[in-house]
Amino acid sequence: MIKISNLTKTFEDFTAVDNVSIEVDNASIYGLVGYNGAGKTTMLKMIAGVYTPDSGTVEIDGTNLFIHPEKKQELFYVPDDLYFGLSASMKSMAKFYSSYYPAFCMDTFYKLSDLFGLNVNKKIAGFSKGMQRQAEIILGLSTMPKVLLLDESFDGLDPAKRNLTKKLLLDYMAEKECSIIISSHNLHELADMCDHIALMNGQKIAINCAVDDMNGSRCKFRLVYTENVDRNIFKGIDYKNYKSDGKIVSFTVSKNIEEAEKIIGFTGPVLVEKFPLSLEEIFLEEMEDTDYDFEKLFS
Amino acid sequence: MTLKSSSRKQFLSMFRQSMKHTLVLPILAFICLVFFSITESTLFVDYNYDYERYHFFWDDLRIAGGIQEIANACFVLAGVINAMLVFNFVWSKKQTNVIFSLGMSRRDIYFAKLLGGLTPMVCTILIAGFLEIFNCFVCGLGLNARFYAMAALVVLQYIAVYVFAFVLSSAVMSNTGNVVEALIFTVVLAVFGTLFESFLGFSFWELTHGASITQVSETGVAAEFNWSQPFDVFSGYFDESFMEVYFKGGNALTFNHWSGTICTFAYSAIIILLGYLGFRKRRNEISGTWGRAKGLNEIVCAVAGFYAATMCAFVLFKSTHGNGGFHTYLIFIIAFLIVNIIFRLIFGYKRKKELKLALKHLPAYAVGFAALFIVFSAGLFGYSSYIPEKSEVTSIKVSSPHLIFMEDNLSNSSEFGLSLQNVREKYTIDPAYNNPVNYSYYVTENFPGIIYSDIDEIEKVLKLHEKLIDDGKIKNNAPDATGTYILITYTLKDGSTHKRYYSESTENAILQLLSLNDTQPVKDTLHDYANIDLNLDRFRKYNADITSEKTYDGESEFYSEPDDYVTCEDYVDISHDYALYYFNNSRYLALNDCYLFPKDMSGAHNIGLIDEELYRAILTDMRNMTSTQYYHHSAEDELGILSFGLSDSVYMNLGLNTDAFAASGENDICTTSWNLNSHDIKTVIVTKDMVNTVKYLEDNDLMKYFEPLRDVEDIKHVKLATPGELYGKNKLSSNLPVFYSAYWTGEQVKLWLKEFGDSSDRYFGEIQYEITDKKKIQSLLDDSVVYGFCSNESKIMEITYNDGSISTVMIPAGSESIR
Repeated sequence: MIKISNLTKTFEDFTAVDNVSIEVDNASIYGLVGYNGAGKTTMLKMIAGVYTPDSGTVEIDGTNLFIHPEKKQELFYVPDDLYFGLSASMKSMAKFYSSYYPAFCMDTFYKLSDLFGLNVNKKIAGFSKGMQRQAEIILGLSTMPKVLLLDESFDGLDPAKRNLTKKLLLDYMAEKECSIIISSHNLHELADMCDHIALMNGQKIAINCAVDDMNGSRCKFRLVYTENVDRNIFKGIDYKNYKSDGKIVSFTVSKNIEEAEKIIGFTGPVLVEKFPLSLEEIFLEEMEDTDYDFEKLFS
Repeated sequence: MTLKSSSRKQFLSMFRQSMKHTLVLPILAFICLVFFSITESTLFVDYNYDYERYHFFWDDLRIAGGIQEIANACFVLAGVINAMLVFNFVWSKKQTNVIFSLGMSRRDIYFAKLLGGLTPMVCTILIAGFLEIFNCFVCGLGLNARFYAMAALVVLQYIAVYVFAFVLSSAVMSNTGNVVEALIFTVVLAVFGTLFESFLGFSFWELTHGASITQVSETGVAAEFNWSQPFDVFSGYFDESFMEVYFKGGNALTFNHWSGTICTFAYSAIIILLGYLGFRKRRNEISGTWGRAKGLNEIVCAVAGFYAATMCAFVLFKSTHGNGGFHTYLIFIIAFLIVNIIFRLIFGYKRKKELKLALKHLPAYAVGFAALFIVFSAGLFGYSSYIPEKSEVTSIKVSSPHLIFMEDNLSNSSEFGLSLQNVREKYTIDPAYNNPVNYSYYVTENFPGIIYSDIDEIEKVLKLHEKLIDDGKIKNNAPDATGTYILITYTLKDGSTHKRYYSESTENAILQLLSLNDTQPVKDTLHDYANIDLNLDRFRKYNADITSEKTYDGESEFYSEPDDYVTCEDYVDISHDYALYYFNNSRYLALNDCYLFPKDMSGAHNIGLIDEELYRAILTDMRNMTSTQYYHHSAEDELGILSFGLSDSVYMNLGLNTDAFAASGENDICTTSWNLNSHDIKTVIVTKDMVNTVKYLEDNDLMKYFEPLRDVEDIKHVKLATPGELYGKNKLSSNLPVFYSAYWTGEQVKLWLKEFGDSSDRYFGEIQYEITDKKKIQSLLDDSVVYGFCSNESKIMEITYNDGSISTVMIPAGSESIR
């Protein structure tokens, strides 16, 4: 289990991660979502020990990584920016990692390489971006980590390899009881894989809950009236994304949905439609305050 | 496998990988060192065991082309390059992702990388050192404890240079954001030792009255404590070849010989620690960025400002003749601020913020530097004004250019016997004047010095010292300032020594100094000279040989003076015409001949090699003379000028030194004695008080050559000037308080003016007023001397003859003709 407590990181005057705490259980995949610059990568780098946090701790099975960095031998970080030596092949990288990760398994390495159809003797510099990412994931899984950090690791993978990778990660997680943290913008992918999602907004965790709990936790209402209605009639409902086209009104509700349904009933709509929000919609809703209003941008 | 044991494995892996990265240069170094070992042993055989010519322990590499720093520079460069190879990962965000996410602590990463970069080169030098010892053994050299100690010193010195360069570069590079920043910072910090020494030198010499020369390193002075040259640990010992040092008896290794190496290792250890502390706290987000290594930026900007401030202060202090203490401080602070801000703007991440920071930190720096200036100017808490109790003193050595007759006046080399004061530059103090970066000094130990141990004489020296302290720090252009410097070295009864150095002195202090010639040690020195076995036959033969050899072919682009001829100027770049003139007009006197000149130096009479009787008569007379007779004689007392030479080079070329290399047999260690007293060209002003000399000249009918060949009618005009008018703008080296006359023929004058122009300060070009009245000129001539104490109230007279020739004489202060 990996436990992150009160991690904070500032760059000069800018706070990149502000007092973030999460816990990832064994055999669990944790999705980290957020807009660009929300602090996802910074947080992963702090967990991996690349960045030193201003405050906070990271523990694997109760061992503080900053005090016992040797515990990081059980952690592998697949960064967004991959690095391989100029003339490195997968084999030489495997050799490199095997000297730093005691659990590194060459059998696994070769098997996975075969599975992905990668030539271990070929220079990685000659690989495509997607192949390089596959190579890094293979190397990472071969270290047999207890904690795997993946930063935008599905970017550049074709759909087949993406599915293969997902499947591999799920199998590995299940078999080795590994904790995996994935940061991604692709909400569908995370919805498929993760059992937990954290949404980072404003350098903090805005939402942190199990995917199952998230499903149906928010919904969107579309209401049709015979006459134009004023938004004041919805007083008492904690709504967002209110849109009105005179007689047709829509908004989302994330709290007290049953109470909201009651209030809506009193307003006398001729038609009520209720849709559960997808992860993407929830993400966009959370980002509502920070997104640009493009319509106003050029006015 | 536990995590701890696997940590060790990780450490070793990183160590091995770092070694792999840095193997190329050690391999090259090894090939190079072994190559020099092989050539040394080959030359050893070819030279037939000629101890003077063969080299060992990579002398040919170390002093290749006469440049000692080449080998040092190579090892420094290797250190920097290897540090880049090992620590370049910190400049790449991608690489930091990999390295820092490994299960290793930052300490392990830093030290594994550091050791990986150090080990190959250190091993290389050690192995090459062992091979060289074996090489020496094969060549048949006697290997003893002294040899091993020297060998160890050479090997460790090379290692020290590499280690220092590597750890410094590593410490800087591992804490910066990109390669450019890293290299610039490395250079700025690498020269810190030298420039800090410059600052100390400046402070000691220019601010403190009575600086101790032991506080600054002196290039070329053997076995000084070398604390400030981590890139040049050989300084002060292996200036000569390994074997030359090895064969010189009595030059055993002392702590000072090891000091450079020890200090360099000590600095390296400190830098490793600082580098590690920085690396441990390193913020990896600075990787690949510019100007975000905050702590290091602050240090480098401060250090760069400090350098500029030191140099500006130095130049200003010199240009104001030491008068601008407060101004110097102001310039120091301003220069510091400007360069500090420039560096901050270049290396700062947020420039406005950096600008504010510079101004915010300025008061702290200003106060700090002010404190330093005050401490140095105030005499370092009484340190500079310390005079030991008479009862504590065993002996005192006083060193100064004017102290001993023989070493002072007689060692003056010139054409036609005498020359103007400025030819005596070999004793001037100011090498740093031309090189403000390297504020080091080569004088002091090489001064002629006399040791006083008699209680009365000690008292005299103590009074001189008291006078120097009472006079205080005098400005260079003060009316009574002289450019004479005095070094007083006390040896106390507890064995300790105390040195005090005065770079300027008043006329009264110099008069007191000159009176020290009336003491027994000076007389004894002259007595020793008189007892040297001259063996003049050797000089006679040598004279004949060299006179026929030396001619100038007129083809060479540059002319350099021949070693064995008398000359007063050190020309390095003059025209063919000028060189041809000097060679073909036979103006050079044969080195060891003796010449007689009248006071007006209008002619020279060669009497051949000096007669032994005349030589001893001169020394006997000088021993009997008082300082008053010598420095304050009247014009009437001066009879003429006598010049002769007995040169070192004569001894060398006659093979005396080869005799001195006598193999002791026991250990094949050769010893050489260097106790032959050196004599360059000696010029003696013959006065009436020199009764023995006069008697010799009279007995041999030579006095007639002292008769002037010209009279006042041959003089076109004269010009008068005070020393201040001639040299007073900067009374440093050239304004010595003892006057030497000079003479140039008409051809020489013409050629000089053609070559160097009217602005040349050799002649009185700036003095416009000419005296042509013959009566007045005669009265001035009657009071003039060619040698003597020259106070600021004295006048120097330039005489221009009708044939264009020029001579200078001095009219002592108080003479009737200049009242």
